[in-house]
Amino acid sequence: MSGIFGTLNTATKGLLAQQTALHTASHNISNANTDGFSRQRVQMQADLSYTLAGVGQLGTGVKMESVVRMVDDYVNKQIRNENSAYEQYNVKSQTLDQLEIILNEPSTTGINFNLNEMFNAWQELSKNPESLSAKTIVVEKSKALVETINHISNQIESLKAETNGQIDKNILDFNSTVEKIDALNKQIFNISVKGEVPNDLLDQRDLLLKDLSSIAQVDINYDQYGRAKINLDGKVVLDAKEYNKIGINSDGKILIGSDIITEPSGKIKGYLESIKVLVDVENQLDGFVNSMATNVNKLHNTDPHNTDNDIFADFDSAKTIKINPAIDKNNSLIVPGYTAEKGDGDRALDISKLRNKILSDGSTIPSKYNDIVTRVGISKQQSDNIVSNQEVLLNQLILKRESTSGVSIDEEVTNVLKYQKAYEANARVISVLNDMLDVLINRTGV
Amino acid sequence: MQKLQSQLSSGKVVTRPSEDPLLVSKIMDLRNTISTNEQYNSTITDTIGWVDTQDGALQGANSTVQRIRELIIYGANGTLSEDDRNAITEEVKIKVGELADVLNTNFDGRYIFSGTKTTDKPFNAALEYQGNDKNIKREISTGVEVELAVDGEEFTTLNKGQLDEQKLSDLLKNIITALEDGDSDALSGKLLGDLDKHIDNILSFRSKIGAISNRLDAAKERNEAENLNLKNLLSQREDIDLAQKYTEANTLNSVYLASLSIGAKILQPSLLDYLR
Repeated sequence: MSGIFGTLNTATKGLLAQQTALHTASHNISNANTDGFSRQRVQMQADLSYTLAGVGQLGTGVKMESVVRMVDDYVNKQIRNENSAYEQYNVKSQTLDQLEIILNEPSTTGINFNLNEMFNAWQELSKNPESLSAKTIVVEKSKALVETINHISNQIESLKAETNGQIDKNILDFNSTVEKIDALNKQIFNISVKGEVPNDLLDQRDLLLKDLSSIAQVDINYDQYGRAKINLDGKVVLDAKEYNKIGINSDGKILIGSDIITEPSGKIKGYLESIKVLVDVENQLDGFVNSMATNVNKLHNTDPHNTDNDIFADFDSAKTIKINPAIDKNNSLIVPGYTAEKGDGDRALDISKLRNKILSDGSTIPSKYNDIVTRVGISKQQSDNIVSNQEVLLNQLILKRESTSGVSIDEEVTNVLKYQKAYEANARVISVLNDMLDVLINRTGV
Repeated sequence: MQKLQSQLSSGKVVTRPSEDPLLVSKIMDLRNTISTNEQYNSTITDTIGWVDTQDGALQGANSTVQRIRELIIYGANGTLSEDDRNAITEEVKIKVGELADVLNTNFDGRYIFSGTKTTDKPFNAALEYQGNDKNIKREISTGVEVELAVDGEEFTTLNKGQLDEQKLSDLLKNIITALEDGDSDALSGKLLGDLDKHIDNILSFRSKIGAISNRLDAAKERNEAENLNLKNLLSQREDIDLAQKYTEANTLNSVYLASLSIGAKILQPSLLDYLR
């Protein structure tokens, strides 16, 4: 039977429920700008009713079911996957950007310009074979070219070292993030076994998983207690029983424990791909340098057994190529002609003609370098295009996530008003009941 | 907008290979070609100077030889006194020296008629050739070479390498001997005839130089036209259309401002604004 005290109880339940909902709304508002936070709702349900004989079912007020967070796990997964691809090409594009700055083309300071200057100097010498100053200019222009090549090669080398450092740093980041997730998993387990939902811990873990996905695209599954299992390429990184660190071996292969895995997309792969491009460019640059130096040397010094008269020395790599020290010291060792006659500039002329000469591999010396620049440009352009595509995709997904999980101040304020009014109404019921009891106890009867 | 800004500040369509790799490759090629072409231009200009100096020297040589010819005709006159003949002989000797001097002209410190021995005087005082018979080559355009006629022996020797080879130096020696001996028959006969042949030879060499000079002039004209074309081509590829880019930048700027002000407007109202 419903008595006044029963109703009082119902009103109290209402008060408590509205207050809790208000509290949650306040929690949402205070976390409106928290990274990775998902808005929460108190789920309310009508409490069990009982049968009043001759009347029927009578309700007994509200019951708080649970506090749930509003998330779309599928969107979160998509965000993680697209984020991996985005970060991969983003770091690649950043690294190649630096490479472009190093190559510095088109410009009047790069290799292309200096190569031309050197050939021009040879032609100038062919006109003035008697002149020592024309020889000096040939040496100086060749030196400028060689120094530019050395400088660029060194810069590429240090960019490579820096990129390798980034890989190591990201592997450290990955491992420490996995450790944090492991700790969260344990906390989540402790709460889940009691049958409760640790909303805020889950939010924190989602955020860490997103961080993880920017480094490497991980596969994530959840067990019955809500613990996250992390796999990479089918191998376990973290589950309830084991935790394996990732690493990198000297061949640039990613390891889990000691097993080699195919690198998953993400920052690490982006850096690995950048290094591949850098190594390619270094090799092509070496090839260009070697071909340029060999051809000039061959024309200037016809004796293959004696390198004293070579222009370039140590030309196996772009890093080491230099002017033959003997010629550098004594510029008059430059031989402009084929005969001993001072007016013979035919040799210098032939060297200057090298710039248009089609070599056995079908390319000219300047076109070899041109090719390097074009290739770098094309791979950077490709990465840039993918980055901008992924950016759009990622933004749409984040927007979608926001529409589900984000906190809307307007909505929360409306909720606050709603719960406030409901609270007031419940309180009003109590005061009415109070009046009723007053009438009943104090003014009825005697 | 950032791209437009970089285009406007540099004046170039592309500043990085990745913005348009193939265009940059083309631009680099064009720059190479232009640089090469400018080098050819300087070569042609220098070579024209060289050839003009040669022509001038040959003109001087020609008038000197003509004067020697006049002196021979004068000296062949049997009625001349001993003193007059001596005076004529002296003048011929001086003219021979003059001839050697004018043919030893140098251009930019280099002798122009001594083959590739450009630092050695081609003719001694007796007009004997000291140079070699190698010609000097100049590249005036890709794959195009011009050979300079620098073999001084070519115009001072008749029938070179054959049995009846005759050097101008020997002829002049004979002329002087004939003048000293008063051998007017030889002077007016064979010696005069031989000198005429030499004069023809010098003239034909001079016309050869003239032909080279014409070729160089044409090459220079072509080179400059080509340079202009290449620069035009480069500019079309590389330089921005300022008016167009400014318009684009302004359009983008107004769109940007509009979206900023719209952004400011939609951000403003909130439920909180309407609650006490």
